[in-house]
Order: sequence, then structure tokens, then C-alpha cells
Amino acid sequence: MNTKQSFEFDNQASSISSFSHQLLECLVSRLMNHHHDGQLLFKARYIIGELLNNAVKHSGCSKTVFTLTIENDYLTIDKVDEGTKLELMNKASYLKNGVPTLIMADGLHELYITKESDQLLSFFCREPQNEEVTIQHLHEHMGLLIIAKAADRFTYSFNSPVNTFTATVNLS
Amino acid sequence: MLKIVNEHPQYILAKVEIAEANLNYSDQFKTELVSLLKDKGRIVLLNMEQVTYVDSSFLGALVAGLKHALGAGNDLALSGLQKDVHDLLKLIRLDKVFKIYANEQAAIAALDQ
Repeated sequence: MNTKQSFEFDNQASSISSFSHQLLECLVSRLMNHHHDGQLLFKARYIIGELLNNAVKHSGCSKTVFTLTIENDYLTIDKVDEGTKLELMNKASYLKNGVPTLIMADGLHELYITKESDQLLSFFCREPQNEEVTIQHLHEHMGLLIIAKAADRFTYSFNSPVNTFTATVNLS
Repeated sequence: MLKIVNEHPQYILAKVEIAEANLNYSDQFKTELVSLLKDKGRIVLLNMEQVTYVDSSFLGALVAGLKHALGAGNDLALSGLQKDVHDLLKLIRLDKVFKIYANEQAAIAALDQ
């Protein structure tokens, strides 16, 4: 059964917990008839939590719409607002389509963006092998990293004035 | 938010007294943790058995605490992680930089060796 439901978030830190629980309760009920492994709700919880943090810290506006879509064995979580454009998008005009660009590395992870079109960036993460980890170089801002690792696909698009983050997780 | 439960000559045991460790608490937690590390100048073991969820801001505070502890020749260790919290640390590989113990007793046994 395919379903789609949207929720409006007020971008207040004090609302994060209750709003997150509201979305997860919706997901649990919508997924009752879908076969999925136990990791799905774990991934969804952390993706939603980090997208909510992003809304509070970076959106620069008073409203964000979250949409949960279950379709063709995929869960898609969209976060849409008309606030501040992701700063990385300003660099996108200098990037070549389809060529990954490293945006963060700390020995544990390398986080890349790939320009898929003038409006669309995708994120992916690589775990370096045998890399020396220097604790003092570890990143303390891990929101995008957590989403990139929990989702099977994670993108950001900007169609002025609309920002859309989309995280997709395979139900199976 | 951080309650000292035992002061040992070599280490401090402290309990994290929140369930959802998110953006609402991370700044205060970081301040308390860094103060504890500075004031006591010893290894700090955090009992996190009450914590059901941590977000990136709280993880950032933990990493900041670890940097501070190691920079001062001490350490910051974790115990009593609930499954989702432990799974998140594994997902983002922080289990490779923090010493993690199943519970406080296991941590104390290791620290006493």
C-alpha cells in the first residue's frame, strides 16, 4: 500500500521531541503491512532527528514541511522550506556534473557531494581504510554525515525559493 | 544533567540524567562535561543507561569532551549504552575512538586494572 502524509514543523528546538515522536508513530502505523527489517525505524528516527536539527539551526525561517512517503518498497522523507539556501549550493556552479567533491574528512569518514544538476546535489560517504585517526581532528558537526550514512540516497535541491532535503531508505 | 556518583583517585563516575539527549541539552551538557574534566583532572566515566536517544549535537559535545580529556592526558569513557545509542555510535564509527563498556561494573573493573 502506498501512502503519503505531510506535517508542519514550527522550527522550534522545544518542539523537536514531540514532532519526532509524531512522525515515528505515523511511520510505525503505516509500515504495519510492509515487510521491513528492524533497522528501518532506527534509520528513520535518526534521519528525522537530524533533519529537525537542521530546520532549527539552519533554515532561518519559521516553518518546515516534512513529508513521509511509502512507495514501491521505499520510504522517502522530504524536508521542505523557503528559508536559507544551503551554503554548499553556492559552490555548485564551480563543480562538474557527476564528479564527487570531498567536503569533509576526519579519518573516520569522507563526506562527498556530487552535483547531479544545477539544482540538485547528492551526498555520499566513504569509510577510509587504514586511515590514522587523530582525535583532535574529529568533526563535531555530524548531522549531514548521520543522514548520509543512514539513508540509501540523500539529496538537496534548490529551486528558488524552495529548499528540499530528501532521504530515501529501502524498506527491504 | 551530569551527576557525580563516585569520585575515585583515578577516575570520576558520572551519570547522564536525561533520556532524549538532543539539541535542547547539548550546550549545557558540553559545558558541564568540560567543567568536570577541567575541575577533576581525571578519567571520566559516563553512565548513559538513562539515555534512549542522542543526536549529532550531543555527539559533538561528547567528541569535544573526548578531545579535552585526551589533550589533558586523561580519558572519557562511556558505559550502559542502550542499543539504539550504541548502534548510532557504530554507524558513525565513534565506537573506534571511545572506550565503551557494557555497564559501570565492567568499566570500573577495566579502570582498576
